[in-house]
Amino acid sequence: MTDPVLSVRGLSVTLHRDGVPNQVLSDVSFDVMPRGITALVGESGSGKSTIGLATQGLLAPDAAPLVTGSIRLAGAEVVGASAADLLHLRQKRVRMVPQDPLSALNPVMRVGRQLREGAGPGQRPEEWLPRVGLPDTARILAAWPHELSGGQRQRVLIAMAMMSGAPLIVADEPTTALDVTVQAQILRLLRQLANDQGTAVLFVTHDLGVASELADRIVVLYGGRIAEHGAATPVLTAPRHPYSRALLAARFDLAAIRTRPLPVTAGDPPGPAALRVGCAFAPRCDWALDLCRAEAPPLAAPDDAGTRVACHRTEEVQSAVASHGPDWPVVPEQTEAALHLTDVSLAFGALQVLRGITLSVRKGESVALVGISGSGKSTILRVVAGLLQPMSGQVTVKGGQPQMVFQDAMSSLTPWLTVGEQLMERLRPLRLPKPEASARAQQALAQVGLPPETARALPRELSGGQAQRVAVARAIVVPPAVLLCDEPISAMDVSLAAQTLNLLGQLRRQLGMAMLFVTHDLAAARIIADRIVVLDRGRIVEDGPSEEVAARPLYGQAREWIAATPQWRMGARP
Amino acid sequence: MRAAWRRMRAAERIALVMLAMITLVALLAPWLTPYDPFIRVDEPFLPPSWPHPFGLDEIGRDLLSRVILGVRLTWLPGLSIIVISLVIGALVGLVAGAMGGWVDMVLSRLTDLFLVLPSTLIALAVVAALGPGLINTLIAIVIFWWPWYARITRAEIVAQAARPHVEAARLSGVGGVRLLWRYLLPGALPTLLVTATLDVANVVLILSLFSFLGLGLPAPAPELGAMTARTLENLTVQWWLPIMPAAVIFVLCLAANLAGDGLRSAMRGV
Amino acid sequence: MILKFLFRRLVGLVVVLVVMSLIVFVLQSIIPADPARALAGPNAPDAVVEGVRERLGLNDPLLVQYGRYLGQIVQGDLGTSVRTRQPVAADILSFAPASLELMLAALVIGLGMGIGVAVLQHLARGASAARIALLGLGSVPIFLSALLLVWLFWFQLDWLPGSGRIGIRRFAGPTGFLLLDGLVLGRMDVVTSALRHLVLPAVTLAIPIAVAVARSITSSLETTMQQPFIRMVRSKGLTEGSILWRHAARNSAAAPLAMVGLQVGLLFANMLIVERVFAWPGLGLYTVQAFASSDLPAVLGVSLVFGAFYIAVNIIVDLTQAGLDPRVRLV
Repeated sequence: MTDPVLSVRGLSVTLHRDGVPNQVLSDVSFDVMPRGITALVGESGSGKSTIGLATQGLLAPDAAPLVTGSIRLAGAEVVGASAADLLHLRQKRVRMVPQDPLSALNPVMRVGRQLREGAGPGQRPEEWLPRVGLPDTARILAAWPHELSGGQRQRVLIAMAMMSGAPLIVADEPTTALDVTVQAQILRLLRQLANDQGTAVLFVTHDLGVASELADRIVVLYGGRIAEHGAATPVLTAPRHPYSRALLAARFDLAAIRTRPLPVTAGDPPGPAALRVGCAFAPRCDWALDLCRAEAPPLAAPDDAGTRVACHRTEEVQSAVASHGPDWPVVPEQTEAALHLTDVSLAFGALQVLRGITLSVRKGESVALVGISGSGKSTILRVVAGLLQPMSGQVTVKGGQPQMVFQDAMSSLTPWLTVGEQLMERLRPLRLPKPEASARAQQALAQVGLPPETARALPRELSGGQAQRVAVARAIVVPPAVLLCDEPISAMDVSLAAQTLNLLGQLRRQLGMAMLFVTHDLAAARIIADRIVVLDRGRIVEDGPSEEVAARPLYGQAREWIAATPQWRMGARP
Repeated sequence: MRAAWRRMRAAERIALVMLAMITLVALLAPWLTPYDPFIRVDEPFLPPSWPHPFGLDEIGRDLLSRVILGVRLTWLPGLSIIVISLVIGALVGLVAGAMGGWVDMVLSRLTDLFLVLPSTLIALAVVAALGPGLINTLIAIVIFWWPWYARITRAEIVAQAARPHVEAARLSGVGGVRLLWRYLLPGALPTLLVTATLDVANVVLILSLFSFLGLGLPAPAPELGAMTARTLENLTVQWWLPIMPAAVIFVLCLAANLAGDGLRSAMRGV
Repeated sequence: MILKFLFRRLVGLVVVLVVMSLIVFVLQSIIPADPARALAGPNAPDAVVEGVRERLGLNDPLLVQYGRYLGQIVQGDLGTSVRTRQPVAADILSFAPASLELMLAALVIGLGMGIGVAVLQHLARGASAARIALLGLGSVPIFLSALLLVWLFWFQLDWLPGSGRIGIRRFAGPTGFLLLDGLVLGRMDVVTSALRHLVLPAVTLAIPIAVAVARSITSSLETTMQQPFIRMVRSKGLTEGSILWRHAARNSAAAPLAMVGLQVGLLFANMLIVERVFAWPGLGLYTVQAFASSDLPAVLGVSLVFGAFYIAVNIIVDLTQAGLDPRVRLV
């Protein structure tokens, strides 16, 4: 048996913020074999990125990281290595492909020089650029980073990592900042190059779908501990940890059932490890016993398939049959329009953003606008909201000012006003007496599943998921006839995204709101919407019932997305 | 605010307390002077001693008493310049940022014009032309000070207005003065506050420069810069005459600088 | 593109100069003193004063007077000094070399010290002692640092002279820049004497520049070092030195450069004080003397020239910024 490229043993990491210690990893052990692709899967805060950084000795010194255990990189120890040794390791043994290609290149240095810097002996960028799909070598080498698109920059960064000849590449969510079609190309490229070069990859992601396309081994992390660890196929087809099961159940792809709420794990990701006793997942787990709440389960010995699980109740979980809730109530279809756009056009300077958009949404109907960035989908929302004035055409909205749920919920909340104050702002025109207004605010919070104390909190005291709920609560505290959603799930982990889709699906049916939902994710569009409208360069190119559009889109661009949307392709992978 | 206070280091907390104490001294100066600062109390040129910690000046007046009054004559105009400039600048910036269009263009061009001029120099020329005096100095400095705050305010307002939380407020039906007051201005406030605190030191330095050049109050008034300027020649023999007032200016500026720097690093996280 | 930018900035420069000349003109018009009476002498009969007034065109409408004033400025005529009875332009020309020499020395020393301190502070990981020391230095009024330097290096140690520009009598060179003249004429005694006289005033002026530059570099370096691309180059195994010089430095240069531009403005004001304390025979001393004798044409003429210089410096700063960062579009 060959030696692993990366061998992590008993790794624990404590980071400090404002002098307060926070243990982000506890006792993590796994191996990455040569040529292997191992996916680290977890929600934000699970510690997955910390493992990637620790492997390169790149934990921010400001956080005063306390690292114990061992990380061996091609035989050399990283933990406790001298600064000089770390430099050597980074030059020769491990490289990274970063999360956000837009900010990972030095903006004032030409691409060619950055590529040559730190390249392995004999590696020439002129040869590598065509291999990462950039045949226009001379232009790219002479370009400044800002002259390249996001996809091109990520290709450059992949070439940069490959040119080092390092046996291991750490790829930390390398595609989240890119459009869906580009994402698929980048993943394919990474897999193919790793295969050709015999490079091992440690792939950090929150998306099980992406992991399933790429990885041969999967490490599921929860609250800084390994929940489940094994070969990709058994973990993805027959997960044994309740959290892996939940992740898998919450995934939605083009085949997910859309007539009922998505199965989700309620609750938020775990807080700081110091306050925790027992299994980190216990508060959200249906199987949790007193034992689970008292004592963290150890990672068990490998089972027949080689999978290791940290759970007290593996047997019961294994034999359980997935249950699901009731179907959505059927809402009678209305014929009256809640929203009507006639031949709406808009240009920003020379850039034509909307070209003759005509679109009608009936009362209580949910319509998804899908398209790549720059297709004009968000602009339509802003026109409907009245934040932008169209240059020509007509916008008719019934039932008052539409409300909007923004892409980044946290930044859509005013940092210096409490949640209560922000909800009450919408009640001001009603001139309710104060107790009644605050009762209405409490009621809205309850509808989105938040406790009444939330009203007194400032936005920075909320988690990402809570901020999202507050933003929804503000939109529905006086139910609008039209609810606009601007990519509300694009930056979310699967379980949070599924929760949000369920919440919006429930509220729109309950309150009879029409909904216009902007997304670049066809799977989400299919689940949330009755109708899908496809946009390309400011034009509507397709408009039809969700199932039909998602199943066999007529428009070429939409077909590309379908090919690009991560599917469950275990075993089908070469 | 309380969170900001907690994040500050000891030196910066002390500086904030010192700012408050200096202001108190400046306000109460006429009642705090141990001797009458305008009449001779003993032999001229007595070096610092217990009854006269800062020594006596060239005509036997108590230097400590004169310096205390000097703090008042430097600190209060300094604070007034900052406050007046802050109010004018914030108003202009708010109007420019919130109205947009031609109003914004005219006001922005105007502030830009002031900002490219060598302000201190022109202020000096203005005071030299209008004749020395506190009011002229105040006006001359304010004229070249407010544009900084106008630019900061406008930039912050424009940045805030494009942020989703302000759009959300507008969709909630908030508009007009309420939008400005509750959603836009608070966003600009931390930056303005930090800049203004740091600027107290700059204004005190510039005021002392004016009075050093004889452009402040006329002779018997104990202005700190002028006291140093008038006694430059005494440096070798009666060092306390030029040094003490200058050292006090240093203390005033240091307190303001430390406090401003502390506020800045404390507010970075907010 | 550069030409277009330069053209637009030159137009801007002209606009600013016109505005400044307007300010200067308004100031001259509203002062209570009567220039005609001043020129004619206090005891001249009214008829003579009236004649002078007519000759100076003081009876014309203000707009005509302003037009004439602008015309004079364009021809390099800044009026006549009340104190020296010489054309202000000629006075400025004769005093400018001393001030320019001092300014250049102060800028070079200030930049050098500022960059040095910033790098030291970066290496010391932003030690708070260094930060507070910088704040302290930045709080010293310029006359206090001047006095302390004079007291220590001249009176106490007698290492360096603290008054005047040169210790050699009757030396006159072709350019007025003593260092240059001394080198050209091969007079090493002149060069040495001029250098020794230059040190104390130049260092005094350099302190505020060094503090401002160091603080500005430190804070933009801090921001740059948190950029994701820095982590990226660190992951390539570059040493901290290469990260600093090859990647961080150029990305952190914009704000400090702008700060240098601003500091040139403050430098003028500080030069008034420093030239007064060190009896440096330059424009600053000339202006201070003009203040003392209410010599308005001199004060205003110097302001106008300094103003033009300041704006020119800032155009150079803008150009340098654009040269360093390909994303900056010159407009």
